Amino acid sequence: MTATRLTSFSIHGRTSFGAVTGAGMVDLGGRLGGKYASLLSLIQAGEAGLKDARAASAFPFADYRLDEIEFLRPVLFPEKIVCVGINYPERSAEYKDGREKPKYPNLFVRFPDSLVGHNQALVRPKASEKFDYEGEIVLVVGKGGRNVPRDQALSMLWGMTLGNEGTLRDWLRHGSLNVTQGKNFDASGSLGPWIVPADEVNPGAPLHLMTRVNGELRQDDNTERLTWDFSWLLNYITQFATLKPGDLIFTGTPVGAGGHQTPPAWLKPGDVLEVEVPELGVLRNTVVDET
Amino acid sequence: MKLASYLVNGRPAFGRVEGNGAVTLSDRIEGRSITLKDALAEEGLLDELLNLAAGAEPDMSLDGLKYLPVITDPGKILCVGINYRSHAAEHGGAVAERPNIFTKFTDCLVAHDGEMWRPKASKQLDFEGELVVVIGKGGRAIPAKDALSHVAGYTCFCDGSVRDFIKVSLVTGKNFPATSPLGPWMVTADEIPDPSKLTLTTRLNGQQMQHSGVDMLMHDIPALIEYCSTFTPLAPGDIIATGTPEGIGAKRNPQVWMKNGDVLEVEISSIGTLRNRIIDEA
Repeated sequence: MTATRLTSFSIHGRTSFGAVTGAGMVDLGGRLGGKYASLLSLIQAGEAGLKDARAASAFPFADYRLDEIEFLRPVLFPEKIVCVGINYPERSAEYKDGREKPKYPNLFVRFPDSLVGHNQALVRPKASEKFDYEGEIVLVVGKGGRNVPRDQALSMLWGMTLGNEGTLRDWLRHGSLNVTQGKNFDASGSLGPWIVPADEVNPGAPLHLMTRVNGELRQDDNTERLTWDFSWLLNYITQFATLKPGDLIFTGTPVGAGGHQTPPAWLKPGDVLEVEVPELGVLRNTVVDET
Repeated sequence: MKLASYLVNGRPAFGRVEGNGAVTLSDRIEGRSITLKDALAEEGLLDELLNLAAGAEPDMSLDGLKYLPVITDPGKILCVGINYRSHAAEHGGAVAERPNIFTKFTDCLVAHDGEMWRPKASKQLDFEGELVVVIGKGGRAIPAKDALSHVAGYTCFCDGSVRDFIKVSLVTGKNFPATSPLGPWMVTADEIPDPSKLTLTTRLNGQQMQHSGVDMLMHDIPALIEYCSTFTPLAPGDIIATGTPEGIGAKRNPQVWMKNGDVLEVEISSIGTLRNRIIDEA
Protein backbone atom coordinates (compact mmCIF):
# COMPACT_ATOMS: atom_id res chain seq x y z
CA MET A 1 0.00 0.00 0.00
CA THR A 2 1.23 3.48 -0.81
CA ALA A 3 1.84 5.73 2.15
CA THR A 4 -0.49 8.64 2.83
CA ARG A 5 1.12 11.69 1.21
CA LEU A 6 -0.26 15.11 2.10
CA THR A 7 0.71 18.52 0.79
CA SER A 8 -0.54 21.99 -0.08
CA PHE A 9 -0.96 22.83 -3.75
CA SER A 10 -2.46 25.41 -6.06
CA ILE A 11 -4.73 24.91 -9.02
CA HIS A 12 -5.83 27.72 -11.37
CA GLY A 13 -4.65 30.26 -8.81
CA ARG A 14 -6.59 28.70 -5.93
CA THR A 15 -4.67 27.32 -2.93
CA SER A 16 -5.79 24.06 -1.36
CA PHE A 17 -4.29 20.93 0.15
CA GLY A 18 -4.67 17.31 -0.61
CA ALA A 19 -3.45 13.75 -0.77
CA VAL A 20 -1.21 12.47 -3.55
CA THR A 21 -2.47 9.02 -4.54
CA GLY A 22 -1.70 6.70 -7.43
CA ALA A 23 -4.49 8.45 -9.35
CA GLY A 24 -3.33 12.03 -8.82
CA MET A 25 -4.19 14.82 -6.41
CA VAL A 26 -7.18 14.35 -4.14
CA ASP A 27 -8.38 17.84 -3.18
CA LEU A 28 -8.99 17.46 0.54
CA GLY A 29 -9.65 21.16 0.98
CA GLY A 30 -12.68 20.69 -1.27
CA ARG A 31 -13.70 17.16 -0.28
CA LEU A 32 -13.70 17.96 3.42
CA GLY A 33 -16.02 20.85 2.65
CA GLY A 34 -13.78 23.54 4.06
CA LYS A 35 -13.76 21.87 7.48
CA TYR A 36 -10.02 22.60 7.54
CA ALA A 37 -8.82 25.89 6.08
CA SER A 38 -5.36 24.51 5.34
CA LEU A 39 -3.14 21.51 5.90
CA LEU A 40 -1.89 23.33 8.99
CA SER A 41 -5.41 23.41 10.46
CA LEU A 42 -5.83 19.72 9.65
CA ILE A 43 -2.57 19.03 11.50
CA GLN A 44 -3.82 21.14 14.40
CA ALA A 45 -6.90 18.90 14.58
CA GLY A 46 -4.66 15.95 15.54
CA GLU A 47 -5.78 12.36 14.99
CA ALA A 48 -9.28 13.42 13.90
CA GLY A 49 -7.78 15.46 11.06
CA LEU A 50 -5.61 12.60 9.85
CA LYS A 51 -8.57 10.22 10.04
CA ASP A 52 -10.66 12.62 7.93
CA ALA A 53 -7.83 12.93 5.40
CA ARG A 54 -7.47 9.18 5.06
CA ALA A 55 -11.19 8.57 4.76
CA ALA A 56 -11.62 11.28 2.12
CA SER A 57 -8.70 10.04 0.00
CA ALA A 58 -9.60 6.33 0.08
CA PHE A 59 -11.08 6.38 -3.41
CA PRO A 60 -9.53 5.03 -6.61
CA PHE A 61 -9.95 8.38 -8.38
CA ALA A 62 -8.50 11.84 -7.89
CA ASP A 63 -9.59 15.42 -8.54
CA TYR A 64 -6.57 16.62 -10.52
CA ARG A 65 -3.69 15.18 -12.48
CA LEU A 66 -0.32 15.92 -10.89
CA ASP A 67 0.77 17.81 -14.03
CA GLU A 68 -2.17 20.22 -13.61
CA ILE A 69 -1.38 21.34 -10.11
CA GLU A 70 1.51 23.29 -8.61
CA PHE A 71 3.03 21.77 -5.49
CA LEU A 72 3.45 24.26 -2.64
CA ARG A 73 5.29 23.94 0.66
CA PRO A 74 3.28 21.25 2.50
CA VAL A 75 2.89 23.56 5.51
CA LEU A 76 2.54 27.05 4.05
CA PHE A 77 3.04 29.16 7.15
CA PRO A 78 4.37 27.22 10.11
CA GLU A 79 4.90 29.32 13.20
CA LYS A 80 8.43 28.01 13.70
CA ILE A 81 11.04 26.59 11.35
CA VAL A 82 14.05 25.49 13.38
CA CYS A 83 17.10 24.22 11.50
CA VAL A 84 20.07 22.22 12.76
CA GLY A 85 23.58 22.90 11.46
CA ILE A 86 26.17 20.13 11.33
CA ASN A 87 24.51 16.86 12.37
CA TYR A 88 26.20 13.95 10.55
CA PRO A 89 29.77 12.73 11.11
CA GLU A 90 32.77 14.04 9.14
CA ARG A 91 31.00 17.34 8.52
CA SER A 92 33.11 19.27 11.01
CA ALA A 93 36.18 17.87 9.29
CA GLU A 94 34.74 19.00 5.96
CA TYR A 95 34.30 22.52 7.31
CA LYS A 96 37.96 22.54 8.45
CA ASP A 97 37.14 25.09 11.13
CA GLY A 98 39.10 23.28 13.78
CA ARG A 99 36.08 22.78 16.01
CA GLU A 100 35.97 19.79 18.30
CA LYS A 101 32.78 17.78 18.07
CA PRO A 102 30.46 20.24 19.81
CA LYS A 103 28.31 19.33 22.80
CA TYR A 104 25.25 21.11 21.45
CA PRO A 105 23.97 21.67 17.94
CA ASN A 106 24.07 24.99 16.16
CA LEU A 107 20.52 26.10 15.45
CA PHE A 108 19.07 28.75 13.21
CA VAL A 109 15.68 29.75 11.90
CA ARG A 110 14.27 30.18 8.42
CA PHE A 111 11.37 32.25 7.15
CA PRO A 112 8.65 30.33 5.27
CA ASP A 113 9.18 32.37 2.11
CA SER A 114 12.79 31.18 1.90
CA LEU A 115 11.34 27.77 0.93
CA VAL A 116 9.53 26.72 -2.24
CA GLY A 117 7.50 23.55 -2.82
CA HIS A 118 8.30 20.46 -4.89
CA ASN A 119 8.99 21.27 -8.57
CA GLN A 120 8.94 25.02 -7.93
CA ALA A 121 12.00 26.96 -9.03
CA LEU A 122 14.92 27.46 -6.66
CA VAL A 123 16.11 31.03 -7.15
CA ARG A 124 19.81 31.84 -7.36
CA PRO A 125 19.89 35.47 -6.18
CA LYS A 126 21.63 38.33 -7.91
CA ALA A 127 23.51 39.01 -4.68
CA SER A 128 25.67 35.85 -4.82
CA GLU A 129 26.75 32.94 -7.03
CA LYS A 130 27.76 30.74 -4.10
CA PHE A 131 24.44 28.94 -4.13
CA ASP A 132 24.53 25.59 -2.38
CA TYR A 133 22.22 22.74 -1.38
CA GLU A 134 21.82 20.77 1.84
CA GLY A 135 19.53 17.73 1.68
CA GLU A 136 17.73 17.04 4.95
CA ILE A 137 14.93 15.15 6.64
CA VAL A 138 12.32 17.53 8.07
CA LEU A 139 10.18 16.71 11.10
CA VAL A 140 6.61 18.00 11.23
CA VAL A 141 5.31 18.58 14.76
CA GLY A 142 1.81 17.26 15.52
CA LYS A 143 1.49 17.65 19.27
CA GLY A 144 3.02 20.81 20.65
CA GLY A 145 4.87 21.08 23.90
CA ARG A 146 7.56 22.54 26.08
CA ASN A 147 10.22 20.56 27.98
CA VAL A 148 9.20 17.29 26.33
CA PRO A 149 11.24 14.35 27.70
CA ARG A 150 13.32 12.47 25.17
CA ASP A 151 11.43 9.19 25.62
CA GLN A 152 8.16 10.94 24.67
CA ALA A 153 9.57 13.22 22.00
CA LEU A 154 8.89 11.11 18.89
CA SER A 155 5.22 10.89 19.83
CA MET A 156 5.05 14.68 19.18
CA LEU A 157 5.59 14.08 15.48
CA TRP A 158 2.81 14.31 12.96
CA GLY A 159 5.00 13.23 10.11
CA MET A 160 8.15 13.74 8.09
CA THR A 161 9.07 15.36 4.81
CA LEU A 162 12.22 16.37 2.93
CA GLY A 163 14.01 19.65 2.69
CA ASN A 164 16.74 21.37 0.78
CA GLU A 165 18.26 23.89 3.10
CA GLY A 166 19.49 26.16 0.30
CA THR A 167 22.39 28.34 1.37
CA LEU A 168 24.36 31.31 0.05
CA ARG A 169 27.78 30.38 1.39
CA ASP A 170 29.38 33.83 1.30
CA TRP A 171 26.39 35.47 3.00
CA LEU A 172 26.62 32.80 5.70
CA ARG A 173 29.80 34.47 6.89
CA HIS A 174 28.50 38.05 7.00
CA GLY A 175 27.55 37.81 10.64
CA SER A 176 30.14 36.57 13.09
CA LEU A 177 27.44 35.30 15.44
CA ASN A 178 25.07 33.40 13.22
CA VAL A 179 24.01 32.43 9.74
CA THR A 180 20.55 34.02 9.33
CA GLN A 181 21.07 35.94 6.13
CA GLY A 182 22.79 33.19 4.10
CA LYS A 183 20.02 30.78 5.08
CA ASN A 184 17.07 33.03 4.32
CA PHE A 185 17.29 34.18 0.74
CA ASP A 186 13.86 34.28 -0.82
CA ALA A 187 13.00 30.96 -2.55
CA SER A 188 16.50 29.57 -1.96
CA GLY A 189 15.42 26.30 -0.31
CA SER A 190 12.66 23.76 -0.75
CA LEU A 191 10.28 21.60 1.25
CA GLY A 192 8.25 18.56 0.21
CA PRO A 193 7.14 16.87 -1.94
CA TRP A 194 4.62 15.89 0.76
CA ILE A 195 4.35 14.82 4.38
CA VAL A 196 4.18 11.14 5.25
CA PRO A 197 2.45 10.65 8.63
CA ALA A 198 4.60 9.35 11.47
CA ASP A 199 2.44 6.26 11.96
CA GLU A 200 3.43 5.10 8.47
CA VAL A 201 7.19 5.76 8.62
CA ASN A 202 8.91 5.17 11.94
CA PRO A 203 10.99 8.30 12.72
CA GLY A 204 13.13 6.19 15.06
CA ALA A 205 14.15 3.68 12.36
CA PRO A 206 17.23 4.21 10.13
CA LEU A 207 16.45 6.33 7.05
CA HIS A 208 18.70 6.56 4.01
CA LEU A 209 19.13 10.19 2.89
CA MET A 210 20.50 11.06 -0.57
CA THR A 211 21.01 14.30 -2.49
CA ARG A 212 21.67 14.37 -6.24
CA VAL A 213 22.58 17.22 -8.58
CA ASN A 214 21.77 16.51 -12.24
CA GLY A 215 21.58 12.83 -11.30
CA GLU A 216 25.01 12.74 -9.62
CA LEU A 217 24.96 11.49 -6.02
CA ARG A 218 26.47 14.19 -3.80
CA GLN A 219 25.20 13.37 -0.30
CA ASP A 220 24.60 9.85 0.96
CA ASP A 221 24.09 9.05 4.64
CA ASN A 222 21.80 7.38 7.15
CA THR A 223 19.98 8.72 10.20
CA GLU A 224 21.62 5.92 12.25
CA ARG A 225 24.67 8.19 12.14
CA LEU A 226 23.02 11.42 13.31
CA THR A 227 25.09 13.23 15.94
CA TRP A 228 21.88 14.39 17.67
CA ASP A 229 18.98 12.10 16.85
CA PHE A 230 15.39 13.26 16.39
CA SER A 231 14.28 12.62 19.98
CA TRP A 232 17.32 14.47 21.36
CA LEU A 233 16.64 17.46 19.11
CA LEU A 234 12.96 17.68 20.06
CA ASN A 235 13.81 17.52 23.75
CA TYR A 236 16.53 20.15 23.34
CA ILE A 237 14.48 22.59 21.26
CA THR A 238 11.53 22.38 23.65
CA GLN A 239 13.85 23.40 26.48
CA PHE A 240 13.88 26.92 25.05
CA ALA A 241 10.87 27.13 22.71
CA THR A 242 7.28 25.96 22.72
CA LEU A 243 6.76 23.78 19.66
CA LYS A 244 3.30 23.88 18.11
CA PRO A 245 1.41 21.74 15.56
CA GLY A 246 2.83 22.31 12.08
CA ASP A 247 6.22 23.55 13.26
CA LEU A 248 9.14 22.20 11.24
CA ILE A 249 12.55 20.92 12.30
CA PHE A 250 15.22 20.65 9.60
CA THR A 251 17.41 17.94 11.12
CA GLY A 252 20.79 18.69 9.54
CA THR A 253 22.68 17.60 6.44
CA PRO A 254 25.40 15.03 5.66
CA VAL A 255 28.80 15.79 4.08
CA GLY A 256 28.94 16.49 0.36
CA ALA A 257 27.53 19.99 -0.08
CA GLY A 258 28.72 21.72 -3.27
CA GLY A 259 30.81 24.35 -1.49
CA HIS A 260 33.01 21.65 -0.03
CA GLN A 261 33.83 19.92 -3.33
CA THR A 262 37.16 20.64 -5.02
CA PRO A 263 36.69 22.85 -6.92
CA PRO A 264 33.45 24.11 -5.35
CA ALA A 265 30.38 23.04 -7.33
CA TRP A 266 27.84 25.86 -6.93
CA LEU A 267 24.29 25.43 -8.18
CA LYS A 268 23.62 27.23 -11.45
CA PRO A 269 20.54 27.87 -13.59
CA GLY A 270 19.15 24.67 -15.11
CA ASP A 271 20.61 22.38 -12.45
CA VAL A 272 18.19 19.80 -11.09
CA LEU A 273 18.40 19.07 -7.40
CA GLU A 274 16.88 15.96 -5.83
CA VAL A 275 16.62 15.02 -2.17
CA GLU A 276 15.45 11.48 -1.51
CA VAL A 277 14.57 9.16 1.33
CA PRO A 278 12.96 6.05 -0.19
CA GLU A 279 10.18 5.93 2.42
CA LEU A 280 9.40 9.66 1.99
CA GLY A 281 9.83 10.27 -1.74
CA VAL A 282 11.90 12.57 -3.93
CA LEU A 283 11.92 16.36 -3.60
CA ARG A 284 12.94 17.78 -6.99
CA ASN A 285 13.67 21.39 -7.92
CA THR A 286 15.29 23.21 -10.81
CA VAL A 287 17.50 26.26 -10.33
CA VAL A 288 16.73 29.57 -12.06
CA ASP A 289 18.34 33.00 -11.87
CA GLU A 290 16.59 35.78 -10.01
CA THR A 291 14.96 38.06 -12.56
CA MET B 1 0.48 59.98 15.97
CA LYS B 2 0.79 57.14 18.47
CA LEU B 3 -0.84 53.81 17.63
CA ALA B 4 -1.22 51.10 20.26
CA SER B 5 -2.60 47.54 20.23
CA TYR B 6 -4.64 46.45 23.23
CA LEU B 7 -7.58 44.35 24.39
CA VAL B 8 -11.17 45.56 24.40
CA ASN B 9 -13.48 43.14 26.25
CA GLY B 10 -10.86 40.43 25.80
CA ARG B 11 -10.61 40.95 22.03
CA PRO B 12 -7.58 42.36 20.19
CA ALA B 13 -7.97 45.94 19.04
CA PHE B 14 -5.85 48.92 18.16
CA GLY B 15 -6.28 52.63 18.34
CA ARG B 16 -4.83 56.10 18.39
CA VAL B 17 -3.41 57.28 21.70
CA GLU B 18 -4.64 60.74 22.71
CA GLY B 19 -3.61 62.20 26.04
CA ASN B 20 -4.43 59.62 28.67
CA GLY B 21 -6.80 57.66 26.46
CA ALA B 22 -7.14 55.82 23.19
CA VAL B 23 -9.59 56.14 20.33
CA THR B 24 -10.23 52.60 19.12
CA LEU B 25 -9.92 52.30 15.34
CA SER B 26 -10.03 48.55 14.72
CA ASP B 27 -13.84 48.22 14.90
CA ARG B 28 -14.85 51.20 12.75
CA ILE B 29 -15.84 49.07 9.76
CA GLU B 30 -18.81 46.88 10.51
CA GLY B 31 -18.08 43.17 10.42
CA ARG B 32 -14.32 43.60 10.37
CA SER B 33 -11.81 43.19 13.13
CA ILE B 34 -8.70 44.93 11.90
CA THR B 35 -5.22 44.61 13.39
CA LEU B 36 -2.59 47.33 13.16
CA LYS B 37 -0.70 45.08 10.75
CA ASP B 38 -3.82 44.84 8.53
CA ALA B 39 -4.19 48.61 8.64
CA LEU B 40 -0.59 49.05 7.51
CA ALA B 41 -0.87 46.39 4.80
CA GLU B 42 -4.07 47.49 3.11
CA GLU B 43 -3.63 50.62 1.05
CA GLY B 44 -5.65 53.52 2.44
CA LEU B 45 -7.19 51.51 5.28
CA LEU B 46 -5.52 53.38 8.14
CA ASP B 47 -6.58 56.73 6.68
CA GLU B 48 -10.12 55.43 6.25
CA LEU B 49 -10.24 54.32 9.89
CA LEU B 50 -8.86 57.66 11.05
CA ASN B 51 -11.52 59.48 8.99
CA LEU B 52 -14.28 57.30 10.42
CA ALA B 53 -13.02 58.14 13.90
CA ALA B 54 -12.54 61.85 13.23
CA GLY B 55 -13.65 63.90 16.22
CA ALA B 56 -14.26 60.83 18.39
CA GLU B 57 -13.43 61.08 22.08
CA PRO B 58 -11.14 58.41 23.58
CA ASP B 59 -13.17 55.31 24.42
CA MET B 60 -10.40 53.65 26.44
CA SER B 61 -8.34 55.01 29.32
CA LEU B 62 -4.62 54.26 29.32
CA ASP B 63 -4.93 53.53 33.05
CA GLY B 64 -5.47 49.82 33.36
CA LEU B 65 -5.36 49.34 29.57
CA LYS B 66 -4.40 45.76 28.68
CA TYR B 67 -1.76 46.41 26.05
CA LEU B 68 -0.73 43.93 23.38
CA PRO B 69 2.63 43.92 21.58
CA VAL B 70 2.33 46.89 19.19
CA ILE B 71 2.35 44.52 16.23
CA THR B 72 0.75 41.35 17.55
CA ASP B 73 1.65 39.10 14.65
CA PRO B 74 4.64 40.40 12.69
CA GLY B 75 5.48 38.20 9.71
CA LYS B 76 9.17 38.66 10.43
CA ILE B 77 11.10 39.78 13.48
CA LEU B 78 14.62 40.64 12.35
CA CYS B 79 17.14 41.62 15.01
CA VAL B 80 20.61 43.08 14.70
CA GLY B 81 23.34 41.94 17.07
CA ILE B 82 26.17 44.24 18.17
CA ASN B 83 25.27 47.39 16.25
CA TYR B 84 26.32 50.22 18.57
CA ARG B 85 29.97 51.20 18.57
CA SER B 86 29.95 51.14 22.37
CA HIS B 87 28.46 47.62 22.55
CA ALA B 88 30.98 46.35 19.99
CA ALA B 89 33.77 47.68 22.21
CA GLU B 90 32.20 45.89 25.17
CA HIS B 91 32.51 42.66 23.19
CA GLY B 92 36.12 43.50 22.33
CA GLY B 93 35.19 43.54 18.66
CA ALA B 94 35.94 45.86 15.82
CA VAL B 95 33.29 47.51 13.65
CA ALA B 96 31.63 44.77 11.63
CA GLU B 97 31.53 45.27 7.88
CA ARG B 98 28.05 43.80 7.74
CA PRO B 99 25.31 43.51 10.34
CA ASN B 100 24.72 40.36 12.37
CA ILE B 101 21.11 39.39 11.75
CA PHE B 102 19.11 36.93 13.82
CA THR B 103 15.40 36.30 14.24
CA LYS B 104 12.83 35.84 16.95
CA PHE B 105 9.61 33.87 17.11
CA THR B 106 6.36 35.79 17.62
CA ASP B 107 5.74 34.11 20.97
CA CYS B 108 8.84 35.82 22.34
CA LEU B 109 6.94 39.12 22.32
CA VAL B 110 5.47 40.66 25.48
CA ALA B 111 3.13 43.66 25.73
CA HIS B 112 3.85 46.90 27.59
CA ASP B 113 3.01 46.33 31.28
CA GLY B 114 3.06 42.57 30.60
CA GLU B 115 5.19 40.04 32.43
CA MET B 116 8.57 39.09 31.09
CA TRP B 117 9.42 35.47 31.91
CA ARG B 118 12.68 34.45 33.48
CA PRO B 119 12.96 30.88 32.18
CA LYS B 120 13.37 27.85 34.39
CA ALA B 121 16.27 26.64 32.29
CA SER B 122 18.61 29.54 33.17
CA LYS B 123 19.35 32.27 35.68
CA GLN B 124 21.02 34.49 33.10
CA LEU B 125 18.14 36.59 31.74
CA ASP B 126 19.58 39.86 30.47
CA PHE B 127 18.15 43.07 28.95
CA GLU B 128 19.02 44.79 25.68
CA GLY B 129 17.09 48.03 25.19
CA GLU B 130 16.53 48.77 21.50
CA LEU B 131 14.79 50.98 18.99
CA VAL B 132 12.46 49.03 16.69
CA VAL B 133 11.50 49.98 13.15
CA VAL B 134 8.03 48.92 11.98
CA ILE B 135 7.81 48.40 8.22
CA GLY B 136 4.88 50.12 6.54
CA LYS B 137 5.57 49.47 2.87
CA GLY B 138 7.07 46.13 1.89
CA GLY B 139 9.69 45.43 -0.72
CA ARG B 140 12.75 43.57 -1.86
CA ALA B 141 16.17 45.12 -2.55
CA ILE B 142 15.11 48.51 -1.17
CA PRO B 143 17.91 51.06 -1.73
CA ALA B 144 19.10 52.86 1.43
CA LYS B 145 18.15 56.23 -0.02
CA ASP B 146 14.47 55.17 -0.24
CA ALA B 147 14.45 53.09 2.92
CA LEU B 148 12.88 55.53 5.38
CA SER B 149 9.84 55.83 3.12
CA HIS B 150 9.18 52.13 3.88
CA VAL B 151 8.97 52.80 7.64
CA ALA B 152 5.54 53.08 9.26
CA GLY B 153 6.88 54.03 12.66
CA TYR B 154 9.14 53.42 15.63
CA THR B 155 8.73 51.79 19.01
CA CYS B 156 10.70 50.49 22.01
CA PHE B 157 11.88 46.94 22.48
CA CYS B 158 13.85 44.78 24.86
CA ASP B 159 15.76 42.01 23.12
CA GLY B 160 15.56 39.63 26.08
CA SER B 161 18.63 37.40 26.07
CA VAL B 162 19.42 34.21 27.96
CA ARG B 163 23.18 34.50 28.07
CA ASP B 164 24.33 30.96 28.86
CA PHE B 165 22.21 29.57 26.00
CA ILE B 166 23.58 32.24 23.63
CA LYS B 167 27.10 30.93 24.17
CA VAL B 168 26.00 27.72 22.46
CA SER B 169 23.69 29.08 19.78
CA LEU B 170 22.33 32.59 19.38
CA VAL B 171 18.93 31.32 18.25
CA THR B 172 18.22 29.44 21.48
CA GLY B 173 19.13 32.21 23.90
CA LYS B 174 17.21 34.83 21.92
CA ASN B 175 14.01 32.82 21.56
CA PHE B 176 12.70 31.90 24.98
CA PRO B 177 8.98 32.64 25.11
CA ALA B 178 7.79 35.94 26.62
CA THR B 179 11.25 37.44 26.98
CA SER B 180 10.99 40.38 24.56
CA PRO B 181 8.67 43.33 25.28
CA LEU B 182 7.53 45.55 22.39
CA GLY B 183 5.71 48.84 22.89
CA PRO B 184 4.03 50.71 24.43
CA TRP B 185 2.98 52.19 21.07
CA MET B 186 4.30 52.97 17.64
CA VAL B 187 5.00 56.63 16.85
CA THR B 188 4.40 57.18 13.15
CA ALA B 189 7.39 58.04 10.99
CA ASP B 190 6.07 61.50 10.04
CA GLU B 191 6.80 62.58 13.63
CA ILE B 192 10.34 61.16 13.57
CA PRO B 193 11.91 62.35 10.31
CA ASP B 194 15.43 61.47 11.51
CA PRO B 195 15.55 58.43 13.84
CA SER B 196 19.29 58.89 14.41
CA LYS B 197 18.40 61.88 16.63
CA LEU B 198 16.60 59.66 19.15
CA THR B 199 18.07 58.79 22.55
CA LEU B 200 17.63 55.42 24.20
CA THR B 201 17.76 54.72 27.94
CA THR B 202 17.33 51.40 29.74
CA ARG B 203 16.61 51.31 33.48
CA LEU B 204 16.44 48.33 35.82
CA ASN B 205 14.54 49.02 39.05
CA GLY B 206 14.93 52.72 38.34
CA GLN B 207 18.70 52.59 37.88
CA GLN B 208 20.06 53.65 34.50
CA MET B 209 21.84 50.74 32.78
CA GLN B 210 22.08 51.87 29.15
CA HIS B 211 22.04 55.34 27.62
CA SER B 212 22.97 56.22 24.06
CA GLY B 213 22.06 58.26 21.05
CA VAL B 214 20.78 56.23 18.13
CA ASP B 215 23.41 58.07 16.05
CA MET B 216 25.91 55.57 17.53
CA LEU B 217 24.54 52.81 15.26
CA MET B 218 27.24 51.31 13.05
CA HIS B 219 24.68 50.17 10.48
CA ASP B 220 22.03 52.87 10.45
CA ILE B 221 18.35 52.27 9.75
CA PRO B 222 18.46 52.87 5.98
CA ALA B 223 21.46 50.52 5.72
CA LEU B 224 19.66 47.84 7.74
CA ILE B 225 16.54 48.03 5.58
CA GLU B 226 18.64 47.82 2.42
CA TYR B 227 20.64 44.87 3.74
CA CYS B 228 17.70 42.86 5.12
CA SER B 229 15.60 43.38 2.00
CA THR B 230 18.50 42.11 -0.11
CA PHE B 231 17.98 38.59 1.21
CA THR B 232 14.36 38.56 2.34
CA PRO B 233 11.22 40.41 1.24
CA LEU B 234 9.95 42.88 3.84
CA ALA B 235 6.21 43.25 4.39
CA PRO B 236 4.00 45.69 6.31
CA GLY B 237 4.13 44.92 10.02
CA ASP B 238 7.57 43.30 9.89
CA ILE B 239 9.85 44.64 12.58
CA ILE B 240 13.57 45.27 12.70
CA ALA B 241 15.21 45.62 16.12
CA THR B 242 18.22 47.81 15.52
CA GLY B 243 20.66 46.65 18.22
CA THR B 244 21.59 47.63 21.76
CA PRO B 245 24.19 50.02 23.23
CA GLU B 246 26.71 49.22 25.97
CA GLY B 247 25.68 48.47 29.52
CA ILE B 248 24.08 45.01 29.33
CA GLY B 249 24.00 43.01 32.57
CA ALA B 250 26.45 40.34 31.39
CA LYS B 251 29.26 42.86 30.86
CA ARG B 252 28.97 44.47 34.31
CA ASN B 253 31.19 43.71 37.24
CA PRO B 254 29.59 42.03 39.08
CA GLN B 255 27.23 40.72 36.42
CA VAL B 256 23.56 41.72 36.74
CA TRP B 257 20.85 39.17 35.90
CA MET B 258 17.18 40.07 36.01
CA LYS B 259 15.13 38.28 38.64
CA ASN B 260 11.57 37.83 39.81
CA GLY B 261 10.00 41.20 40.71
CA ASP B 262 12.50 43.41 38.85
CA VAL B 263 11.10 46.25 36.78
CA LEU B 264 12.66 46.97 33.39
CA GLU B 265 12.12 50.18 31.44
CA VAL B 266 13.22 51.07 27.93
CA GLU B 267 12.68 54.74 27.19
CA ILE B 268 13.25 56.39 23.82
CA SER B 269 12.91 60.13 23.32
CA SER B 270 9.88 61.18 21.24
CA ILE B 271 8.39 57.69 21.71
CA GLY B 272 7.82 56.86 25.37
CA THR B 273 8.63 54.25 28.01
CA LEU B 274 8.14 50.51 27.71
CA ARG B 275 7.78 49.07 31.23
CA ASN B 276 7.72 45.42 32.27
CA ARG B 277 7.98 43.30 35.38
CA ILE B 278 10.05 40.14 35.46
CA ILE B 279 8.46 37.00 36.86
CA ASP B 280 9.72 33.44 37.19
CA GLU B 281 8.32 31.18 34.49
CA ALA B 282 5.54 29.08 36.03
